[in-house]
Amino acid sequence: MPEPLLRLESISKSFGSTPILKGISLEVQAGEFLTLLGPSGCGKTTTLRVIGGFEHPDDGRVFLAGAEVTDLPPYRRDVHTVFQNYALFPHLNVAENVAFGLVLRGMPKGAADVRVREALALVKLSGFESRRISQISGGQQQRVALARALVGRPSLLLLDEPLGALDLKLRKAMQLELKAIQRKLGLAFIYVTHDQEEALTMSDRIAVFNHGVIEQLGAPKDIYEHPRSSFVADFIGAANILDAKLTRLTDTEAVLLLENEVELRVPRPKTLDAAEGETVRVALRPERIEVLFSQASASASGLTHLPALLREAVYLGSATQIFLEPFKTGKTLVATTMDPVEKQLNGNASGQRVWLEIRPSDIRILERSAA
Amino acid sequence: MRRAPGWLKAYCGGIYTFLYLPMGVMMAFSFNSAHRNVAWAGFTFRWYVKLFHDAQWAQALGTSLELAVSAAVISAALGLLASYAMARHSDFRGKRAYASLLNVPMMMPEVILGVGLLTFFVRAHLRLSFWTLVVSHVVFCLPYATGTIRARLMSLKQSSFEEAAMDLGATEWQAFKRVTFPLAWPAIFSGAVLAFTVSFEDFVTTFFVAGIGTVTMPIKIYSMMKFGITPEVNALATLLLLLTAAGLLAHYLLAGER
Ligand SMILES: Nc1ncnc2c1ncn2[C@@H]1O[C@H](COP(=O)(O)OP(=O)(O)OP(=O)(O)O)[C@@H](O)[C@H]1O
Ligand SMILES: [Mg+2]
Repeated sequence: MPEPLLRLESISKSFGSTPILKGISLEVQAGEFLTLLGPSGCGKTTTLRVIGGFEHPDDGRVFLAGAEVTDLPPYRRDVHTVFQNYALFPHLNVAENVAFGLVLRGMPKGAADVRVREALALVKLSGFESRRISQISGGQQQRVALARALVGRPSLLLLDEPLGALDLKLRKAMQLELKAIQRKLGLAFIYVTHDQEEALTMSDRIAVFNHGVIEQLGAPKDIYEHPRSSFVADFIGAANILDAKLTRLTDTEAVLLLENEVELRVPRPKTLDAAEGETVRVALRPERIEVLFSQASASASGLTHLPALLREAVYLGSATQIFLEPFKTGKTLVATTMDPVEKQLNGNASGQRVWLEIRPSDIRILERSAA
Repeated sequence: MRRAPGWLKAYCGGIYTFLYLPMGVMMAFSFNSAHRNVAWAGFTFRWYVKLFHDAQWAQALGTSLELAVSAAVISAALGLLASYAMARHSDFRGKRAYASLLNVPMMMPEVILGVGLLTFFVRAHLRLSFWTLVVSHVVFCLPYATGTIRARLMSLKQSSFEEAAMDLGATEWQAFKRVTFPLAWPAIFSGAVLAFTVSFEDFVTTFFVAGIGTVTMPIKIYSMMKFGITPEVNALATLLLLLTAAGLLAHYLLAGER
């Protein structure tokens, strides 16, 4: 295992008496795209600021390329930041902004000019050199901020919601561009967002933050397919979260009683910290629920069918969202389907009897239920 | 656009007449060729010419300018330091007290400030001079300069310019020199201009702490009044008014920038 580019070792930070980071540990390898994902106020920016050197952790250590930098000021760390509000210098033009770090290092003007031109070409802003910051659009400012951070060729770039201020279309385009630039330069990115879709499409790994702790850290697919808590399951994509009693537990199998009603046999997950007889939370993705409008003749092997009442169907364009009531408790499940279902819905959908088809192996056992 | 009712216009007109008519009359009479402020006898620049040929007046004007410029420069420099400390460090012990104490001289009755300063100088065995006057003016000019500069530094902090500079490799000093200072400069200048204005027109404190030899414009006007309001006093007051107004205008124009 090579020395990671960045290592955070149980970082804690409080503001006043409020703990904001509670023991954050993570590693970033060279060239990796790591996303910090989490709801507002969970400590993502604070984590970046600790890495950048703008906040000193109360506890824990920061290592860059194996060397401890916990006590070093920002200007002695080989990382650059793309700030959430860009923080472009309004008294300098585009080229002067990009050249700022090079000039400080005492790079000769000729060499600096070449580097600035390269960086601006990389972000597709050639010809904008002498524009004032107030004379370019938000999307262009975003690119200048990126060029300014890239031009010094750091090994690690910190980006705090860099696309947050852009409209949806520009955002999508910039996501691809950012990813392309990151690949091309072989840079490591630590990318903050609270947009789960952005996180899933761009990242090599995602760290899901909640209240100052990392709830789960892993590849997008891993996190989406195997969420470890109901917070993660709910925050990344949509999830139906249900209570289930663990009635029996063998080496290979767990028997669940869903909502005290429906018994299911599911494969035993690799990690499980609940014992037989305890109640746990389970998650089921809406797209993993099939809605059948007539009872399936002979249920195919390994599938479970549940009768349910259809409550509502919401047309979403590419998909339809169907709200269902399979349990006596009245608990609602959501299913999404890409199939055209208008015909079967025949107008007033509510109250229609349907069947759910689920694959028990799609059920994910999460944490122990609080209740 | 809605039109204001007639009574409201009359009311506003009355207030503004009351506020500005005396100044208008004073300015008009400074161009009056008669010796007394009673009747209009024709237009003249005579009093201004006379003023500029009178060594005493010229000296008073010079003293006032020198005093106001010194007070303004010192206030702006100290104000910049104080504001930088407050903007840079989100929290330090006693920050609130520090910030409020800075503003106290602005709200304190000037008579008290004057008596206090005079007592201090006498007790400290400091001879009243031009420089004790400068120090005293800095005391009440500082809050004005600091207020303006601090507001700007706070808003700069919001935009994280200084952090961005340090992120790109600038030390604290380089970040200040290359980013914060150029961006705060209009506010620093505008704070200095405001301090200049406040110092230039000050009478009460100056009256207490000016030594025998130091005569500023407001003091000179006051002493002239013992002999009645002559057209020269009108001319001088008009100059004072215009200078003050120009200073305030410059302050607001600069503060409004960006
Ligand atoms: N300098 C500070 N002083 C006091 N509290 C702070 C400070 N900086 C951050 N906080 C608090 O710390 C918490 C976490 O802030 P942080 O900016 O890290 O959140 P975030 O995850 O980046 O959220 P967002 O998605 O809204 O940007 C917030 O509750 C915030 O109010
Ligand atoms: Mg943030």
